[in-house]
This record gives sequence, structure tokens and C-alpha cells, in this order.
Amino acid sequence: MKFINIKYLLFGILAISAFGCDLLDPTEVVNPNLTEETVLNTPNPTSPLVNGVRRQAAILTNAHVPISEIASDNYDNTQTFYNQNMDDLVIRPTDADMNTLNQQVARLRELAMYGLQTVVPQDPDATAEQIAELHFWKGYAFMLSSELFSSLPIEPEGEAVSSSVIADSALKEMNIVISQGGSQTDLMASAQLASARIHRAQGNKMEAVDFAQSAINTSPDLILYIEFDQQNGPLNTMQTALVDRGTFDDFQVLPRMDFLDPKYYFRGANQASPVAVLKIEEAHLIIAEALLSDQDLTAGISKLRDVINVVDSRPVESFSNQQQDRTQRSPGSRPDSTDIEVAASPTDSLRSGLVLYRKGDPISVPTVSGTSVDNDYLDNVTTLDGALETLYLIRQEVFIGEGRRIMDMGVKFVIGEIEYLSNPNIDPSDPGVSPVIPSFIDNVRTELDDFTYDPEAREAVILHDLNRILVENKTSPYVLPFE
Amino acid sequence: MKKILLTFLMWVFVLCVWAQDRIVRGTVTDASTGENLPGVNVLLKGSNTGVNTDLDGNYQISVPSDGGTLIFSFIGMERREISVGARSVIDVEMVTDVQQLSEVVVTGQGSGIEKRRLSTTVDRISTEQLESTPIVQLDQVLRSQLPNAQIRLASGQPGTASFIRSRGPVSAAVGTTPIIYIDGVRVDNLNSQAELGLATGGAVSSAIADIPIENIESIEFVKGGAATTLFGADAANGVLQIFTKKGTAGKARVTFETQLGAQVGTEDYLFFEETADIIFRPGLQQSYRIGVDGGSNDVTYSFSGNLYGDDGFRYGNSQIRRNFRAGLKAKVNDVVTYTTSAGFSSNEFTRDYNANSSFGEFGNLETVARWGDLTEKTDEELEDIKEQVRNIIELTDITERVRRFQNSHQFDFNFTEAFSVRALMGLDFRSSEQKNITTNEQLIVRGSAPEGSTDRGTIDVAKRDFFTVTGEINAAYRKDFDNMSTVTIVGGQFFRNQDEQIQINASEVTEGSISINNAGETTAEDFLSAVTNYGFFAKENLGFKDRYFIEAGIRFDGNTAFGEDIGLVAFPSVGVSYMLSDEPFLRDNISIETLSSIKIRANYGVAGNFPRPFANDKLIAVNNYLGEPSYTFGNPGDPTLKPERTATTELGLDVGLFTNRVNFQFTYYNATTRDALFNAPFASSVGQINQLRNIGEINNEGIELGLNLILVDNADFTLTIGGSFNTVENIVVSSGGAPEFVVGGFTFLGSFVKEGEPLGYLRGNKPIYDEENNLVEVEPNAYLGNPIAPIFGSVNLSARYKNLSLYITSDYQSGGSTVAVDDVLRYFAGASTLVPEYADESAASFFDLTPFWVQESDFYKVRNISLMYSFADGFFNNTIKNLTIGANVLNPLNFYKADVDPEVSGSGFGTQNSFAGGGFGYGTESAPRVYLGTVRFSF
Repeated sequence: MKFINIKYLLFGILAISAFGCDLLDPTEVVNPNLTEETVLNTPNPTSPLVNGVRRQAAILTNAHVPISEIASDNYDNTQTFYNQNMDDLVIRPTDADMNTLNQQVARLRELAMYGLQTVVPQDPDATAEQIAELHFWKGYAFMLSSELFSSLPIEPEGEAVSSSVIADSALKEMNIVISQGGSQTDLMASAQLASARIHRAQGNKMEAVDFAQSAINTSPDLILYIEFDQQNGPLNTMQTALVDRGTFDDFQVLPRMDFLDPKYYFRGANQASPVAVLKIEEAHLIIAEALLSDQDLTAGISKLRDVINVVDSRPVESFSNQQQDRTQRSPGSRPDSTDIEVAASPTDSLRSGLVLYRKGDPISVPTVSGTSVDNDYLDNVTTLDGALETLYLIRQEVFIGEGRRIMDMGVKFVIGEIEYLSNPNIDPSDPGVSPVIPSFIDNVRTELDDFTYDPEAREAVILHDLNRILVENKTSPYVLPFE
Repeated sequence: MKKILLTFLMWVFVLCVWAQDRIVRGTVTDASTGENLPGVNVLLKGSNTGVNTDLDGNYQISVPSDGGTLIFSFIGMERREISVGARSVIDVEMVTDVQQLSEVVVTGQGSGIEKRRLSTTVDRISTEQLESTPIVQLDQVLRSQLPNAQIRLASGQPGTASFIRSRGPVSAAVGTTPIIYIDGVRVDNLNSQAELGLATGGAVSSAIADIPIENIESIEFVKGGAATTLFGADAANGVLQIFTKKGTAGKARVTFETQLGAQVGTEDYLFFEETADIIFRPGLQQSYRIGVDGGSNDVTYSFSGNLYGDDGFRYGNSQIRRNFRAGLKAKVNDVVTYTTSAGFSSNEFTRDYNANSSFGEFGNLETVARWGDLTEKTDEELEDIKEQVRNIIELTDITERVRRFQNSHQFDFNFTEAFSVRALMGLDFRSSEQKNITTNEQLIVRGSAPEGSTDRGTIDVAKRDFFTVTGEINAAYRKDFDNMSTVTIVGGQFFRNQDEQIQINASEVTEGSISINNAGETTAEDFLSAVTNYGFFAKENLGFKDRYFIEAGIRFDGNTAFGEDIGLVAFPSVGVSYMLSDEPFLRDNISIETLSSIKIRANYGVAGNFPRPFANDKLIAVNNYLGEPSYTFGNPGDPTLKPERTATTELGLDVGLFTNRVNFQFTYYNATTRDALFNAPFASSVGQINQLRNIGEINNEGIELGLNLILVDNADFTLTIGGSFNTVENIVVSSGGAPEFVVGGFTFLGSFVKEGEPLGYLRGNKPIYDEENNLVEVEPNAYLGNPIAPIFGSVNLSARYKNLSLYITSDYQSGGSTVAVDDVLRYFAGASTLVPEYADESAASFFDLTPFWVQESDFYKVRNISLMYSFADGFFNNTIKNLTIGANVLNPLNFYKADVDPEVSGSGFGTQNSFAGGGFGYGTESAPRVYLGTVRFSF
């Protein structure tokens, strides 16, 4: 009887204890992630989405600028960390950087479209400015797709579309931005300048000039920066490559542009150097190029003087660059002092003032635009081809570090292998899977960065003046679109 | 789950009391040597009354007035049943178990089952084997001790991760490290970079490095397949279970052990001898251990505490460990036995960068990258480099601190001889903090910041708290009939893993500060994963005539992250075991001394891996961008996602000859992972990140051969040689149409997953030359090698002459590849020894030279030589007993083909338990040689 009582008592205690199981419940579901449904039900989700699209534009900038700079004559990649194929213009669909670029440009487009098609319709607080900006970035993704590829799918697993068709898509989006007007002067001017840029690439001289002039009228100092986040990322990969990798001096600049390097520098723990992707200098350059194309040397030169005026108004920053060697492994093997003169080619004369001494006082470098061409230089330009060559030199100098040079060279990247392996509409024989390299570039592709250097004589002579080669081949369909 | 908990609690509280009548005493001895046997289990048949013999082999046990029957059992000895009758003293001699199949194994069975009944194999590391190895880190202990596993230490620096593999990689989604239990409780086995963690150039921290391994009695390892079915949804890589000591009855014994010695950096793999002069230096290694154990017939206990420290083998390394563990076994009454153990470990160390960083000075020296060709330097220049490098390392401040507590509580209810219940609960809590303080001074000295910089100091902190709690209850029913016997086990288990991580990056830190409070800017991010896995299992093992056994089991597993989206997943197993040697037609014709045993076994079983928690959800990722939240596409989502399942078929044969002086074991296995989780990319135009999808199929096939030869066995001299030979042929059978994807390595030469190739195969561009060495073409993305050696094994020797014993362990691998990444850097400096001139001249870039850096990873390495002398007599009136002095040399001999240590991998690790093949030798120091002297005694 006593035993039974104890048993009852025991089970009584257990029964009461069972309530305590809630305290021990190990099945609690903890999901730290944000589902799409959760996000769309937050107030004004368009705002962080637009911010995310800008961030994606920064990621895309990192995907195309460094490889473009290596591929061009601007920079020689002397280390292992960045792309090893591009220096010799070996552009393969199997290159991981091609896959990355394909994906990031698509991601910018898709994210902007997601904003327009999914987020905005569910967000009563979405503003006209936000919607316009989403259209702009969608158009920007099309613009880069058109500039960087001969053909590319522009929808998920779509067929490859030619560069000119993609350009039309880009213009359509830019037109939406322009037609919406609104209070965002810089966005409007950016869309106008982008339209000018796209029309120029397509050889539409008149439209290009009109949009370029509109951009100048709207915002005469326009710079559209891609901003990077030094704290949270994405970092500016070009800044990392040029200065922040410390003892690794990965990119070595072409000696004639030494004075422009590094455009990006360490600004502090919470500020990254931005990359300008649209700036008003280009509008002036487009107009100048159109004028020269129209055989109007005087007006063309005059317009180039406008470019120089704009360039002169841009900031020049001073900072220490002592840790940079020319080169890291073999100091002194490249021009590294102010007394060294550089010739653009073996047939050109030596020019001084192009090389900096970095081991002493802080150096001064233009961080938006710089050029070695001044009014005196222009005074000596007497031929149309000479003017065109000067124009392309200015373009090269002004756009250094911005990933634009290969576009002037007429080079196009490729559809990557991940695309053609996963997309039933594309196979390896698709034309977009092969790069476009004009024959006159192909002839010198392994020598793009080459020069001779005599440390004793303090002279460096670049092997090929690529600007001259471009002008010599101005009738080619790949370069100098107005010729 | 609440029901399980309630049931579990009920069993814990249900205690019953019975009474005994009289005492029987006696001594148990080894029949062959006459020595007394401590630790023999003495059980009153039909009851739960049991004791262990003390150190002198004595026991005493309560028996009923009619005496009953006593069962004597001991590992390696034949079980004996003796009727007590009216006797009060029973001395027992035990004979060696010729077949060695009465040993009881636990891991993978739910409850203890005799080996002979099993269709699967279990590897066991005994106390004796463990005592021959200095115990610092679990993976170091396991190296070459598990005959069918590859254990590769990826770096010689403290606290770093390792590769532990047995039957090849079964998954492209998770690492190959087996799940690990200590006394039935799961412990953190993260053997890769955590989700958040400091990047120090490939020197990846690992939770394996600080698993509390104090006071181990034995380790069991099951390799996957049917043996792991009862562990369910994440056991496809196998299960490693550590059993700790709970003490032996008798008066308290205190054991003291001290080990002193030196760590010396191995120069075997160095490119420059000068590197050793600059960066290596011998470091003191010291270890002090005290153990106490003893107890009564009803309660035994064991305690062990250890203080360990080393100065490393190179500048920048040091380590201090403080560990203790206590174990207790108490017979509460005739029904209930309570067993518990608790361990604590504290580990603090300093580390330098590895080479996958411009800050890795070892790599900077070896790769010519920073300091040039050391052989061409003058003495003065070398002195200058030495001073600079040591100054840089001195200014480097990377520290890690880990504290870990683990315990286990086990209640065994033996209601009758046939029916028992086990309830178990325990936890493992690991808290780690990594810290890297980078001062302006350090950056300036490194040349990474201009002179006078004051705004570049940083402090990076990564903290991870991992908590796992395990609960299990199972009931076992054992019954012998005339010709039949049955073992039935049913049970349930849950474990909840809570992983909380936070990383803080502080910049513009005031020079000299060690606190993030003194920073201009801080950023932080966190990671949280809290998931409960739960399962229910049942197993039946049916025997006929004690030689035909058939077993079947099933486990149903679920997971709170997926709930009803996936539901309960079934993992079945079946197997047969046949003791051919016990057939009368053999026994009648061949003596048991000649043919000790032949066992044939076959089984089929399924284990698996659940996807990463919530990997089926479509997510939006939020990132801080310029001080504002920003949205982007997160995980694309896949509502059809489910666990991958590895089905293994195994056939095996165990043969013992000449009183087991020759033991041979053979196993063939074929494991196919279906619905394999592949993190393959979508078409780039989709613009989405990769999504884990059930699109793959992976196959592993191979054999495992083991041979153990007792060449000499007499009272004065024994000599045993053992070895294993294993093969694994791994192939990705299908990738479901998805393109190959990267799982490690570098852009120029990566580790990839591709249909038709081994998992993690090395991929790069392959130049093809004609007979005159002219470049004909370059084959893009070609197969260059397999980082996982398809042939591996171990060779061990143990010898004893009187009281002197020698123990040597070694292992080998063959057929795999490693990448000599160091030479790539040397190539850039014009100092490559691997790239021929003709290739260099014709290559478009070094991307087209990759095969020259892929080398054979074959090696034979002697891991441990242990020489021990045990004094037979006590000292000081026998106050000091069991005095043993010994010497160890770890890593004394390395034979290898490559230009790098084929074992290390300075890159190639995934994050948070993702798959990685390793195979990238990159500026990473190998495990050092260690010379140790040991003194151990008890009183």
C-alpha cells in the first residue's frame, strides 16, 4: 500500500513536471533569414532595393574594370592575383572572370527588373525618382552588355542578342528616365550622357552629339560615381590592386601614363575611392570626335580645349605612395622618377613630366580626370588624324582605371562557358562565345604593354602607340565609330 | 519531441530497489600468463548485479542465498559462466578468446552488441595504443591508428584544420569529417573555416583541434554505410565515438605523467635551407598530467587533469592547453546504473599567417616573392632579412582562445537480463575567439603602408559559440532460445545544434590598443544557426545456431529547419553475418588453433545528409551598403529540396588463423549518393547565386584490406606487424546537366565538381607539345589530377621484450595529386624549378602551364616511434608503482615525391563544413618533429 502511494506520488510529480517540457523544448524553429514575403511586406521596400541595385552596380564595376584595364595597354599585370589571360588578350569562355562578368551584368539587370516588376507594384511609397533610377540601372546593364559583348542573352536563359539590339534596349530605358524628367538633374544628365555614349558606339553621330550637348546643358560638371563601401564591401577592386595590396604591386601602368597612377588611393578606413562611370568630359569628347569626323579640325581642336578645361577643373589629390615599386620584384626595372622621359613609340619624341617619383614626398594625382595634353600640345596638332590621335590619347588618359580603353580598341569579351553549358538556347558555336579582337590589335596583342627602358639614359620608349594604330585603322568597323 | 523528453525523464526518475543475501569473493587471472586481471566484469546472471575486478584482479559480489550463476567477461577473453553453489570463494582463470568476436561494440548499434553478430565492421583504438601516442589533439592521435581512414593535417601551426576521410567523399555539399560522439553525446566537429572567421592566409581553425580528449579509454570508428544507418541524416561520413574512463574498483590510485621535449620544424620540404634558419627555432613542449581513479564495487571514478604548453617550432607560434575530465559510474541499485563524464578544455595559441596572404612570411621566403633568392644572399643580407622577418612576426598578433565544456549522463536500466533501457543526455559547449591586431607599425614594417601612417591599424575579432545538446533513449531486448537468439533495439534520439557567430572589424585603431573600443570605425556581422535533428530507430539482430545472423534496422529522421517540407526521412539497413568457421564440417576437421575464425558478412545501408538549414527558402539578402540597408537576391530557393542519400553495399570476410596470430580482414564497398546536393551554378543570364539542388550522383567504390601478424609471442618477446591497404575510386556519376562548379583552389588551377571526374578534381589548362616541344594546343579546363589519394593505408609495428615495448605507426598514400603552388610564385620571380624553358616561352600566361605544378602526392610517413620501459617492481616500499619511462619521436621520417609536403594544404578549405578536396601546398609549414621524454607512475 505504501509502495502504491509512492508510485502515485512519483507519477503525480512527473505529470506536473511534464508542463516544464516547454522550458526544454528543443524543437523551436529559429530562421535568421529574410524570405521574399517578409521583405515585400516591410515599409517602402523600394528604397533598400534601389540601394541594393547601386551596390550591384559596384560589384559589376569590379567585374569588368580590372580585367578591362589589364586587357588594354593601360596596365600590365605583373602578379598572380588578377586575371592572367587578359594581358595578352587571351579571351576564353572558360575564363572564370568571363563567367563572373556575364553573371554580374545579368544580376544588375535582373535586380533592377525585380524592383520594377515585383517590388514597386507592392510598394505604395515607391517614388518616381526611385522608379526612374531603377530604369537607369537596367539601361546601364544593357549599355555595358552592348559595349562589352558582341552578343549576349539579355533575359534568363534567353537567346544571344546582338550588341546593337542590346543597345536599343539600353536606349529605351534611358529614354524612360529622360522622359520622366523629375528633380534628379544628375540622373537625367547621366541618362543623356549614357544615350550619347550608346549612340556613339552605334555610329549614330547626330543623336550622339544631341544627347551629349543635352547632358552638358543639364549638368556641366556631371560625374556619376560608383561608390564602394570600405567597411562592409564591396571594396573598390582597382584600389585594392593599385595600392591596398601593399607589397604586391600588381598593376604596372604604361610609362606614358605614370603620372595618372594610382587614380584610386587609400582614403581611410571608412571611405573608398569611387569609380566614375559617366562624366561630362565624355560629352565634350563625343562632340569633338563628331566634329573631327566632319573634317572640322578647328572646331574639333576647340572642343578638345573644352575637354582640357573640364579636366583642369577636376580634383588632384596628394598622398604618400612610397610602398609602390616599379616593380616590386625588380625595383628600378621600370621608369620610376621624374627625370625619366618617355616616348609614345620608337618614332615619337621623348616627353618629360610623365613619370612620378614615389619614394619621397607625397605624390599628386588627378582622381577624376587627368591628361598630358594641354593647349600648347594642341597648338601643335595640325592634321585631322593628328587630332584624332590626340583625342584618343585624351580618352585613354581621362578614362584610365575606368575600364573604357578596350571599348576604344574594339575588343569584345565573350559569353562564358557556364552560360552555354546551362542555357539550352546557346551552344559553344554561338558567335558571342568567340571574342572580337580587330586584326590590327591582334597583331600586337602580346606587345600592348611593351617598352624599352634605359635606366642610364633615363629614357623609356613604348613599342606601339596604340592611339596611332587606332587612327590608322579608323575605317575598321570595330573602332572610331564616326569614321 | 516532447513525448520523447517526457519518456526520457520518466526513465530517469523510475528507480526500484531489490535486496541481496551473501558475498562471494575471488581472484581472476589470465590462464596463459598467470597474471591477475583487473577490470574484469563480473555479473550475477539474471540480474543487474555486477562489479569489476580491482587492480589486483580481486572482486567481491553479492549473490542470492542459492548462489546463482556468475558471468565473467573481459575484452579479448572468452566469457565464462560459473555456478556459485554454496561456495564463498571462486577464483577464475580466463583464456584468450581465440575468435575475438565476443567483444561488444556500441557505436552504430544503439546498444552494445557482440562483434560476431554484426555484418559491419568497427575499428577500435585501445587504451594501450592511445598510451603510446602523446595526446594533444584528436586528429593527431588518430593518424595512422585508424587503418581505413586518411587523416591529413593541413598545417603544422596550432589549432588548424585537418582532412579526415575514410571511404572517399560521399557529398559535394559537406565536408568529409565524420560526426563525433563522446560517451554517446555529439560534439562540435566543425573541421573547416566557420561561416565567420578571420582569414589568416589559409590557416583554418578547427573544432577538432580542441575536442576534450583527456582520459580516453578507447575510440570506435564506423566508416559509413549500414553501420551508420542508426545515426541517420548526417552520418554518411562515418561516426567516431570516444569512450572515456570511468575508473576501476579498488583504492584510489594516483597516476602522474610528465612529458618534456622539443618541437623542431621539419626541413624536409623546404626550398631554401635558409628559411629554417630565419623562421624556425626549437620550442619547448611540456605536458603534466595527473589522474586519480578507484572506487568501490558500486561506484567507480576516474579523473584526469592536464597542463600542456609548447612554444611551437617557429617564431610566432605558442600554445597552452588546460584540460580535465572526470568520469563516474555508479550502480544505483540492481536495476539502475548511472554513468557520467564531464570534460573541460581551454586552449590558447598564437599563429602566424599562412601563404595565401602577402603577410605569410614563411611563404614569402619560400616562394621568393618578397625576399628574393635566398641562396644568392650574402651573410649580411641574410642577417638583415632574418631581422626583418622576425620583427614582422613579432609584430604580428593573431591569437585564438577556445574554451569547451562537454558532459554526458547515462542511465542504464537493466530490468532483467533480457530487457534493458538506456537513457542518455549530454552537451558540448564550445566558445572560441579569434583576434588579429594589426598595428600601423606592423603594416609599415611589412611595406604595406607608407611611413608615418597612423590611420590603418585594425583589430578583427571573430567569436563563435557552439552549443549542442543530445538526448537519446533506447530499449534493448536480448533473448536466447534453443537455436535462436535475438537482439531487438528501439529508440529515439535528438540533438540540437546552436551555432552563434559574430565578427567585428575595427579600423583606424589607435596604435597600441588591444580593444575595439579604441577604433575610429567598427563593423559587425553575425551568423546564427539553430537546428534540431530528431530520429527514431529500430534494429533487429536475429541469430541462428550462433553462427547465422541477420540484422535489419531503420531510422526515421526529421529536422526543424525543414519541418513538414521534408518530413521524416527513412534510412534503412539490412545485413547478414555468417560464422563459417563454426560449421561442424569445418570444426570437426580443422582445429580452432589452426582456423580460429572465418566470418562472412554482407550488408546494405543508407545514410545521408540534410541540406543546409533553410536552403529551400527563397531569400532576400540584406547588406549594409554605405550606411543604409540594401536588398539583393539571396538564396534562389528550391521547394523540392531534400536530403541526399548514400546507399552502401558491403561484402566482407574476416579470417583468423593459428590462434589468431594471423588476422585478415577484407571489405568491398560500393556507395552511391543519390539526390546528391550540388551547389551548381545557374546560367549566368539568370543573375542568381548558386542554389543547393538534388541533382547529382556520386559513387565511391573500393576495398579495405587489413592484415595483422603476430610473428613472435612468448612470455619475454612479442612482435606484431599490422597493415592496411585501402582503395577508393570516386566519381561524379551525374551532375544533372549542370555545369561544373568550383569547390576550392585558385583561378588558375581549381578544385572542381564535374560529371565523369572525381569530386574536387584538379582542373586547369593543359598545354600539349609535339616531339620538339613546340606548343600544339592548349586544352582548356583539363583534368590534371585528383587531390584525394585513391590508395592509402597504414603500417604499424609493436614489439615487446620483457618490460621494454616499442611501437611504430606509419601511413602512406598513392595515386593522388598535389599542387606545388609555391613554385608558381617562384615562376613569377624567374626561379621556378618545375616549368621548363620551352613551356615558359610558348605559354600565353601561367594559366597555360598548370600541369607542371601538379605533382604526385605519394608519401610514406612514419608518424610515431614510441619506446617505453615499465618497471615491474615498485619503488619506495611499493609506494610508487607502475613506473614507466618512455621516449617518443613524432613525424621522424617522411618519404615523398612532390616539391611540397603532399599532406598540407594552405588553401582548398571550404567554409562551415562545406566539401573541400585540399591538395594545394602553399607556403604552409608541415607538422614539426617532436622529441618527447615521458615519465609515468602511480601511487
